[in-house]
Amino acid sequence: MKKDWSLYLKDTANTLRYHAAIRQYIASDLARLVGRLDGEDDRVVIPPEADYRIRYKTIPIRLFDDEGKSGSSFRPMDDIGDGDNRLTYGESVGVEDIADLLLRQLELPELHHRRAAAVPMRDMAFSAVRPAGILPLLDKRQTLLAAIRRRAQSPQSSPHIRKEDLRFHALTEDTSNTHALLVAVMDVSASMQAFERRIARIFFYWTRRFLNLKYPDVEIHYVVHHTQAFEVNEPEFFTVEDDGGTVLSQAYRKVQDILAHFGGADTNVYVLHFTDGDNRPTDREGAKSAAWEVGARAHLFGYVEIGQNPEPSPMLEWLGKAGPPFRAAAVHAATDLYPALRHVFSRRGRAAKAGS
Amino acid sequence: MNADRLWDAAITLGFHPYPVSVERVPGRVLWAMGAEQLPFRFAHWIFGRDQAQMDRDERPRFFVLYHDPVRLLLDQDATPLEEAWWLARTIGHSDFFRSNRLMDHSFVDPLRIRRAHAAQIREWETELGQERVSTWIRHAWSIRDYPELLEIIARAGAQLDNWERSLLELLAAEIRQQRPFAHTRLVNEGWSAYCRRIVSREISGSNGLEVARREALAAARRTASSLGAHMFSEIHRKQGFEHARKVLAVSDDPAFAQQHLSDDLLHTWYSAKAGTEQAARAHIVHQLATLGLPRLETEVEKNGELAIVHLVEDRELEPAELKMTLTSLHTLYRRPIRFTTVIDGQRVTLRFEGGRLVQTRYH
Repeated sequence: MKKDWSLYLKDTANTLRYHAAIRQYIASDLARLVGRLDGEDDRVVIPPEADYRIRYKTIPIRLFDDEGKSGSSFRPMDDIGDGDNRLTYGESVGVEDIADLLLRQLELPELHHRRAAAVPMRDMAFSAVRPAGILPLLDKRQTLLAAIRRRAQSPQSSPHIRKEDLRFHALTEDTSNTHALLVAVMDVSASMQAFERRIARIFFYWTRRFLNLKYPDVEIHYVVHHTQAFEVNEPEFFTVEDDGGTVLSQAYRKVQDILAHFGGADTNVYVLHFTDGDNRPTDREGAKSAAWEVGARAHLFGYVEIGQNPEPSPMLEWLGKAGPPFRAAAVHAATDLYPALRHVFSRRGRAAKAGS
Repeated sequence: MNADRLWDAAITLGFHPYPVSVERVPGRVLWAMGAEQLPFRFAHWIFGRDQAQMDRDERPRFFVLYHDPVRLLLDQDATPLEEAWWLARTIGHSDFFRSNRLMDHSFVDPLRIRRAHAAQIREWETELGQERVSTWIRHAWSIRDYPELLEIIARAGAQLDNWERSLLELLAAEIRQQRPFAHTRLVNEGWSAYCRRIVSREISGSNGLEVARREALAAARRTASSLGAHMFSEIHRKQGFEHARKVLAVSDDPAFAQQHLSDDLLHTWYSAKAGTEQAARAHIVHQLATLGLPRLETEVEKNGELAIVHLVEDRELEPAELKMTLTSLHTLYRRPIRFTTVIDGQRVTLRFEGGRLVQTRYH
C-alpha cells in the first residue's frame, strides 16, 4: 500500500504560524520599523525571548562539527555548537510586511463630507441601456419607446413588441469628475539636516504608499520650499537637496496657487507640510494668515514639525490649537513618525499630540 | 553500490538489524520533520522558525524512524546511489537500535503517541485559542532540556488548569522518549557510519569510485559519525568484530568515549598534546554525559517554593537568557522560585515572586 504523504505536509502550516508570530513582533515594533525603513536595515530580528534556555556563557571546545542536518534521528545538540553560543534568529522583514500593517491603520479624514459629490470614488450603477440582457433587467419604458420608434419608421411593421425592441439596464462604471488633491509640502532649507530630510522623505514615502493603496485617484502635487517655493515632480521631490532660510508664507502661497489652478469647488483638498518650523521671525504673522487661508480651503491640513528642540515653534503651537482642519504633530526621533502618521491620517485626529 | 545487494552483504558481514523499509517521501515532509526533530509532532511557530533556519543551511534529505521495522524516509528525488548510500547507514542505525541496551524495545509506537499528542494539542487550540496554547508551549520550551523540571511543575505548580498540566507532562514525555538517543549519539552515528563503510567496501560496483570519494569526504569531516566510525574501526582491528558488537550493545556515549577514545584519536581529532590525554578525555566524557547542559539540582520546599541550585563547575551561565528562562519558569509554576548560581564570580540567588524578579542576593 502506498502511503499518501501529501497528508503529512506540515511545512506550510509551520511557516504560516511562524509568519504570524513575526507579524506580532512587527506590530509591537512598528514605531521603530516605520521610521527606519529606507533600505539601510530592513531586518527585524526576532528578539531572544523567542529562543532562550539555560545555557553556558561560553563553550570552550567543540566536540563535533555538526552533522545531523542531513537527516538521522535528531539534530545535533547545539550546545556542542560554536563558541559564541547565542543563536540569533533574524528574519528579513520587507517594506511590504510593514506597509501592510501600517497602511491598514491610516485613513483620510472627512471622506464622507457633507458635499457628497466630493468623494473621489468609483461607483457602479445601472445607468446605461443596451439591447441584450436578462429579463429581470428589462427596461420597460425604453422597450416601449423603441417599439414606438420602429413603428414610426415603418408603419406596416408589427404593432407588437418584437425581440429587437427589447432594452435592458446595463451596469456601468460611474466615474465622477470630482476628485481629491493632496499637496505635499517639504521644507528643504539649510536647517533641515540629513537626518531631518531623511525622516521627511520617509514620511512622504508612507504617505504616497498609503494613498496609492487606498485612494489611488487622489492627485498629488509636490512642493519644496526654502525662502521660495517650487512645484516639483515626484522623483525630484524625493531627491532634491537645497539650501537657504525658511519662509513658510511663501510655501503656503504656492499651495494656494496650486489650489486655484487645479482645485475645483467640489475638490477634496489635503495639505501636508513637513518642516523643522524654523521660520524667519518676520514671517510669523504672514505665515499664520497664509496657513489660515489654505486651511479655509482644505479638508485636512497636516503640519508635522521635526526638531531636536523640545520646545514647539510658534507655528506648531498655534496650529496645535487651531482645530480642524489643522492637525499638528511633533517628531523628535524616527520612532515618532509612526504616531505622527497615525495622528494625521485618522478619521478624527488622534487625541492629544503625536510624538514626544 | 546497489540497494538490493546491500542487505545481504550486511547480514553476511555479521550485522543484525531489524528489517528496514524504505519510503519515498516529498522533500517538504522531511524538511518539516527536521525542524520538528520528532516527526508527526504538534504544531508550533518555533518549528517554522527552525524550518527557515534549515532552509538557509541545508534541508534534510532523509530521516530514520526507529521502530520495528526501522523506516528510512527518503527524499523522493534521491538518486539510486543516494538511496543505497543512506540505506547502508540505516542498516547500521537499525542494528544499533536492535542491539543497544539503552534502546526502548517496548514497541510502543512513538509516532502514534506523538500523533495523539498533536491531536490533543490541536483540540486545546480549538477550545482555548491558538494564542494561549502557543504561549504556554513557548514558556515550556525554554526548559525543554530539563524534563524533570517540567514534571515537577506539572506536579507542584499552583493553580494549573488541567490542560496546562497535561501539556507539560506531554512535552516532558516526548523529551524523555528522545533522551536515550541523545545519550548514544556517538555510538549510534558511529556504528551506522562504520556499517556503511565496510558494507560499501564489500560491494563496490560500477560507481565504486564515487562511493569511495563520498566515503573519504565523510571520514574527513569532524562529525560524531566520523569519530564514532574511527573508534569502532579501531576496536574491530584490535579486538575483532564480535568485540565491537559487544561494545555496541552495552555502551552509551560517555562509557564509549571513556574506554575507547584512544590517545591517537585524541591527538588527531582534538590536537591533544602528549601528557594531556587524560584530561582531554575526561572533559569529553563529561560533556557527553551532561549533553553539554548545565546541571541543576531542584527541590520543592514545604511552602511550595521551588529551589534550584546550579551545580557550578567552572563555567557560568548566560545571565540574560537565564533571567528570561526563569521568568518563563515562574510563569509556568505560579509560585515563588529561587535560583542559585554564580554570576561574574559571585555566588548569587535570584528570587522570583509575583511574576517578576524580586530579589538578587549575593552571598
